[in-house]
Amino acid sequence: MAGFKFGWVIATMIECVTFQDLMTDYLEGELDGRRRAECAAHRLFCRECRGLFEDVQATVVALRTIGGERGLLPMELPDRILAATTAGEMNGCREFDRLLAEYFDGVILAPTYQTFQHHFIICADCRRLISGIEEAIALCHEIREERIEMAPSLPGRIVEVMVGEAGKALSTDGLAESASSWFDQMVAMGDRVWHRYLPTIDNARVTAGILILAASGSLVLARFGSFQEMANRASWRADQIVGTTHERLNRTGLSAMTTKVARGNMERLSREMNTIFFTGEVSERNGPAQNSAGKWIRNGSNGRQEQAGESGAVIEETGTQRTRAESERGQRR
Amino acid sequence: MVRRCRAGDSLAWEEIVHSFSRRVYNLAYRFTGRHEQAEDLTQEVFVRVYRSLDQYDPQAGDLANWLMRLARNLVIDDYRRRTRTPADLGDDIGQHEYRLESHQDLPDRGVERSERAQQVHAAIARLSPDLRECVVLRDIEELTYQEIVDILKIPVGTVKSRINRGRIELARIMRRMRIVDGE
Repeated sequence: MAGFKFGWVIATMIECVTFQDLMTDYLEGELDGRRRAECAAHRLFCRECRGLFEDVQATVVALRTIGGERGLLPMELPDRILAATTAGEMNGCREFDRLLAEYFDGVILAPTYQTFQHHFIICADCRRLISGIEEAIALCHEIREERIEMAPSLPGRIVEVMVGEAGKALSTDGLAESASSWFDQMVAMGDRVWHRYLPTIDNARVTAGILILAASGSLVLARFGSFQEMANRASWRADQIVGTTHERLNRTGLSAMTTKVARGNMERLSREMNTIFFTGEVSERNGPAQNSAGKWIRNGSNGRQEQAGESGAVIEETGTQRTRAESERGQRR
Repeated sequence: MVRRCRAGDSLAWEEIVHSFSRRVYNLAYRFTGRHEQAEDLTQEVFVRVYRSLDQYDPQAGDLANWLMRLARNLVIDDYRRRTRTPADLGDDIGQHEYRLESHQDLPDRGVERSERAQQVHAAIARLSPDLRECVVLRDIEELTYQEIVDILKIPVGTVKSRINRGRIELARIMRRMRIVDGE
């Protein structure tokens, strides 16, 4: 019986190549009964294939073991993934929009800057946006360097609006333009004078400044006779307007009017000063009195103005002056 | 969870990353055989997964299956690209034999297991690319033949044949490396 079985095994034994081809199916129980018996017989009688089969079994166990284990994971890897996705993309695009200005101004914190840099690596949209903004900024810088020519008449128009007819009277093209032209002429003249008399020193602007001062002095002397006279007239007019303001305030007693009245009077003072300086004329309505010598009278330092005339009457009184005048009247009575 | 991610909930995405990064990393390591490359590949996989979240259909399967299927496809693609440059293949066997000898008496079972896993990975790295991908997908990832067919786009007979040859080849490599103990 035993001999019969042995003979059957020998007769049906498969070759090593066939056994190895069927090894996986044999291992996984995929073979039908006859093939399984043939493989089992070969495994029994072939020492080499038996050893190989056992190695394959051990290998599969080893592979499944490492597959079932939790395996390795570098500690920082999840954070790195989150930085590349969540921090770098999900929040990045929204945060980027919010912090765009700070990013270009360079005022964001270093970690945020790093996040943005990582984000740019993976986000093509934001890369395009950044390069577009950078180009726009560069263009703005180029434009800023360019000089745009101004209309030559613009300074004159501005001065005309600001100083009115008085400024216009000085020059038909406007005060600033005239002043500029005048200064250029002075510089040219200074240049000529300087080179003629002091050829070793090239400083035309200093000479021009001296000429401007001389011209200004001449203008004042021609209009007012002396600098003291010009100061007297300006001071007299200022005192008069301040006195008028006080009088009005005392009369109305409305403190709320103070600002308005003061502003109005200051504007008026400014106009008057311009008129005095540029034309030498004084308003007839409030013109200062002149003494017999034709000089303007300024009464002390208390701001009170009197018109010197035959009557000698006080035409404006303010504050303590009024009290003193009433006291004098009482004594006379 | 995916719905929360789509709505911009970064915590939901963080949960997904922490849940699956280990599996993806290990898959990547089995094909690259190098930690740095595996980390880069894992990050790349998650970036792709994140960008594909809108394509996930819950009715077509759970998140784990969808994510790992995507990861396997990406890792296999990367692996097939890299196999064109032989220098990128795994570490030297001799290096791992040295590690085996130097740590064989360590009492710590965890370290021993880790060392053994390293050696198996080193042995896998010695397989030819065709055999390697089939063996890894079958015996480590434990995919069905049909799933492997879907990923590798090759006939099922070829898959079976490669798995069989891959196992035999790997067994011989591991015997040479003394990872498996025969008679």
